[in-house]
Parts: sequence; structure tokens; C-alpha cells
Amino acid sequence: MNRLIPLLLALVLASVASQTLAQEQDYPNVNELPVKQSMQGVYTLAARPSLQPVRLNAMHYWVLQLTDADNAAVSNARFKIDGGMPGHGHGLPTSPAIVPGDAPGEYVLRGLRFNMSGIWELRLEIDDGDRSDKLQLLFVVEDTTGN
Amino acid sequence: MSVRPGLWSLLWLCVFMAVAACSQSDDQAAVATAPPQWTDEELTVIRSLSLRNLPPLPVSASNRHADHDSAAKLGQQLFFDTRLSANGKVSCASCHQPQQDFTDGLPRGVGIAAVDRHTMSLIGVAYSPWLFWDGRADSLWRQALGPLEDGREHGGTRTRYAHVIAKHYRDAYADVFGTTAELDALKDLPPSAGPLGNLDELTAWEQMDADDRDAVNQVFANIGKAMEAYQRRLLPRPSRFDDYVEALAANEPDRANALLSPDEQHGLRLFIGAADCTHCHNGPLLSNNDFHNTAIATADEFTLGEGRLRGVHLVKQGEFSCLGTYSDAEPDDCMELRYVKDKGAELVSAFRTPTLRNVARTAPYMHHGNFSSLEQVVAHYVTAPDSVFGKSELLPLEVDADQQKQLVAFLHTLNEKPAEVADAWRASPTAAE
Repeated sequence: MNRLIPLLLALVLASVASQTLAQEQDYPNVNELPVKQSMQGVYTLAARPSLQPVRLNAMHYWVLQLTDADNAAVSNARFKIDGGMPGHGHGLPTSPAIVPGDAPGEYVLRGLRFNMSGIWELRLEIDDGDRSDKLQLLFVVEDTTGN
Repeated sequence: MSVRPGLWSLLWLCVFMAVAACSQSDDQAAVATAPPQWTDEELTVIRSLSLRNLPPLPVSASNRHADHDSAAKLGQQLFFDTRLSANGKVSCASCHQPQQDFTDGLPRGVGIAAVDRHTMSLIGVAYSPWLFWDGRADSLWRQALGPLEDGREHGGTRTRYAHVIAKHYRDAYADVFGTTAELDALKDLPPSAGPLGNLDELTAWEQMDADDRDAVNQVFANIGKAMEAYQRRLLPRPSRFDDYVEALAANEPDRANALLSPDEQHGLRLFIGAADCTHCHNGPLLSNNDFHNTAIATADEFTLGEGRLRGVHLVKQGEFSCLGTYSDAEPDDCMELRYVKDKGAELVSAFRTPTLRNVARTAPYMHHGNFSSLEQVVAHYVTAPDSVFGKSELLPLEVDADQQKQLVAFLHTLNEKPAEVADAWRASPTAAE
């Protein structure tokens, strides 16, 4: 029986490893974030990090472009932001905030820093007075200094 | 379970490994005789840890003198000067000893009296946005001021230190900061007064007028700024591990294998893999300089509020922050402080990740000096006990006794090699002369 334990353990580890790998492959890299629609389809968000590539432990910001279902720029939106590493059960290492940018529908997400490699999540609650919706971004951050 | 076709090979590999494990004896204790074969993904992570990928020093926006040589030289003199203490016997170098990689070999530091925290190394310290184990300082210059006023460390007061500068460092001060106006204002001020002094010193401080307090604060801040300029020169030197990475990058396996033994290389594989040390100990300094609860605090040691929860409360206060009166920064330069994480259960009993550069020769370990050996540290992370306060981020590791030895062996490869040319910043200014 004792000899079966490593076998069962390896099978469990293989299952976990395969799921982890599949997950990382399923999410975009932070440097190539696709345009994302909010959960009810009210908004569309494009995000571009100021650092290319994003480095671990480096403070930076993202430029956001918010449009509605008619592809019109959404100004005057207010945001709540939260997030973390869902696989590790902890939140963001900073308290980022979103402020208006220079162009219609443009915003700046300030105060981002990722301190670990892996899958990260940002959850946004968006409200422009007339409409509101939630939006989730899941993406992979890697340590790129070794590339 | 949905598994991509390309992953079946991984699954079969794991099954094969399990069968192989079953065929070995239960008391297997094989020490590696062959080095690992690295995957491209592993090589990327390994390269990310190399000192040769260390970025330039981050700008210290709150200190316009941070990169001036004259400030660094003044800071070096102040760092080793025992006159900057209440009893004339304590300098920064009393605990941050150059010959011990700027640590002291003690579980917890001893200045005027014993303190609660282990002395951190200063090698590469300028790369961290937060200082102290709980990050209660947001710059090196602000950090330097803390121990000076702590009754158990240097034990002195702001006016005492300002008088030392006026008496012994007037010319150097004028050379660095371009004025002696605030030194001239000290003439009639009490010999020892400050907001953190004893009752007499506090009373004397409160009886000073606002302009005088401002002049003293300016001198005090400038002491810290010179010390920061000095400590920015304490940069890490390459280790045997860094040479190994260079040999791998040059595709010279024989040289690589001569630099690190098979056990050390397998320890590296565990470090970046099964033991997941790079979760926090990442980048060329092997630290994310962030705060984590790894179940180190003990019940008799601290109250619930210790660690980052208290540190973040303190760092947002005071005139010596990046956003404070004596900062040279614009508010937009203070992004770390402005967007600091100040809420959340993760801050409870969380302490800063230290660098692992020179870790094998900077025992004991952890913020309280709890562990005297790396073996104890690794065993702690393998067993992953629950935290007394808050929730530990650790998960138990599947790392056996031999693998723990390999991890420790790898950590020894992070010791700096001896300097080819003596580094004058790593000695007292009198010794360097």
C-alpha cells in the first residue's frame, strides 16, 4: 500500500500541473491584453500598460479606453477596482486607482505593481451615471528580465 | 477534466516518474550525481535571477542629493560616527557591520539596548521602495532617521544630532547642501531636544519656536539624505550562481557544471520549481521587497497589529515621507506611497521579503532572528505551520530531506565572490584612507 501512495500523489500532481498549465495558456499575457467586454455587454475596455514589457516589482500605469456598445467613447465614468491572484488567494500588492485621461473615454489606471509571476485578476465596477456594469480582466504576468 | 493534447506527454511523464518512485527503496537518499537538464522556461526564470539583469538604481525623487558623491562621502562618515548617539558609543555600523555584509550576526540588534528586530543587510537596499521589516519608511533617508531617535538604538535627539553636524561637519554640510543657514540657527537651541526624546527633551522641543524646529528638522532630514547617498553605493557583487548563469547563457555546460555541483543545481531547480521560492524571492536581488505573512511571528513576540499593518499606518504619516515637508519630490513622484496597500487581512503579521544575496553568511534569519540556520528556515517553509496572527501564505511543500539539503546547498551559491578591487564604500572612511 505504501508504494501506491507516490503513484496516487504523482497522478494528483499531474492533474494539478496540467490544469495549471492549461490555465496559464488560457489567459492573455499582460503585454498583449485583448479588448474586453463587460459582463452585461454595456462597455468595452482596451488597456495598454505603460511598461512594455511589464516587469515584476515595477510601479507603472495603464492607459484605458472605455467605449459603449455603440463604440462611442464613455467619459465621466467612475470606477471601483479590486483584484489579486486568484490561484493564491491574495489581493493586489498596491491600492490602484483610475483617473480621467486626456481624451474622451480615456482613463489612467495608476499605482499598479505586480510582485509575483502568474495569473492576475483585475475586477472593475464601472458606472457612468446612466449605466453600470462589471468587468473582469484575467492575465498572465511573467518575469521578463531573463528573456 | 479537460486536458490539451500536448499535455498528455506531461501526464505520462508523471505516471512514469511515479512508477519509477515505486521501484526505489523506501529509504532512498540519493544525492544527485548528474546535473539537471533545463527547459527553456526554467532557463528564462534562472536568467531573471542573475545579477547581470539588475536594473539601474531606482531614482530617489525625494532626495535630490541621492546620487552626489559629496553627499555619499558625508553619509559614509556619518554612518560610522558614534557621536550620533546618546552615549557616544553607537553608530549605524555598530549593527550594520561591513565585514558581516552589514549585519551583526545576532538574532536581534543591540544599540543602546536590545531591540525587537533582526538587523537587515544593506547590500542592494536602495532597490527597495520600503524600508524596515514592516516598511514604515518609504525612503532610505527617512529610514536612517528612525534608529537615530529610537531610545534603544542611537537614543539621541534631533537637536543633539544637528549640533554634531554644526560642530564637526560644517564644511562638508555646506559643500553638499549649499547652505549653512539652518546650522547658524542652532546656536541658542537646547543641546538635546526632540519629539521622541524623554520628557525633558520633549518639553524642550515643544518650547522651541516653529522656525527653530524647522531648521533642526532640515538638518536632521539632510543627515538622512547623506546617509541614503552613501547606502546607495552598497551594491551587490556577483556570486558563483551569477557566473553559473553566465556559463549557461554562453552555452558552456562544462564551465557551468564546474561552477555549481549537481546538488546545488538541483537545489536551484527546486528553488524555482517545487519549492516555489521565486514566488516572493524573485528578480536579481531574490526579493520582491513586499510583505508576506509566512507564519514567523510567535505569540509572545508581538501583538496582532505588528508587521505591515502597523508599518503602513506609520509610513503614511509624518514630515519625512515622500509627500512630506522635507521631501524634494513632486506628488507624482511618490507613486508607491500614494497607492500603497493600506487595507486587507494580508497585512496582518506580514514582513518584508529580504534579499537572499549572501544569505548563507547572514544568519540568523527572519525579522525576529527566529532561526539560526538555513536548514531550519527551509524546514519551516516545507512544513508550513499556521500563523499565530492572521493567515499564513505558505502551503506545505512536497520536498524531502535530501531535497531540503539541495535547497540549502543552492542558497550557499548566492554568496558574493571576494572583490577583485577593495570597495571603499564597504569600509569605514578612516579604514579606507
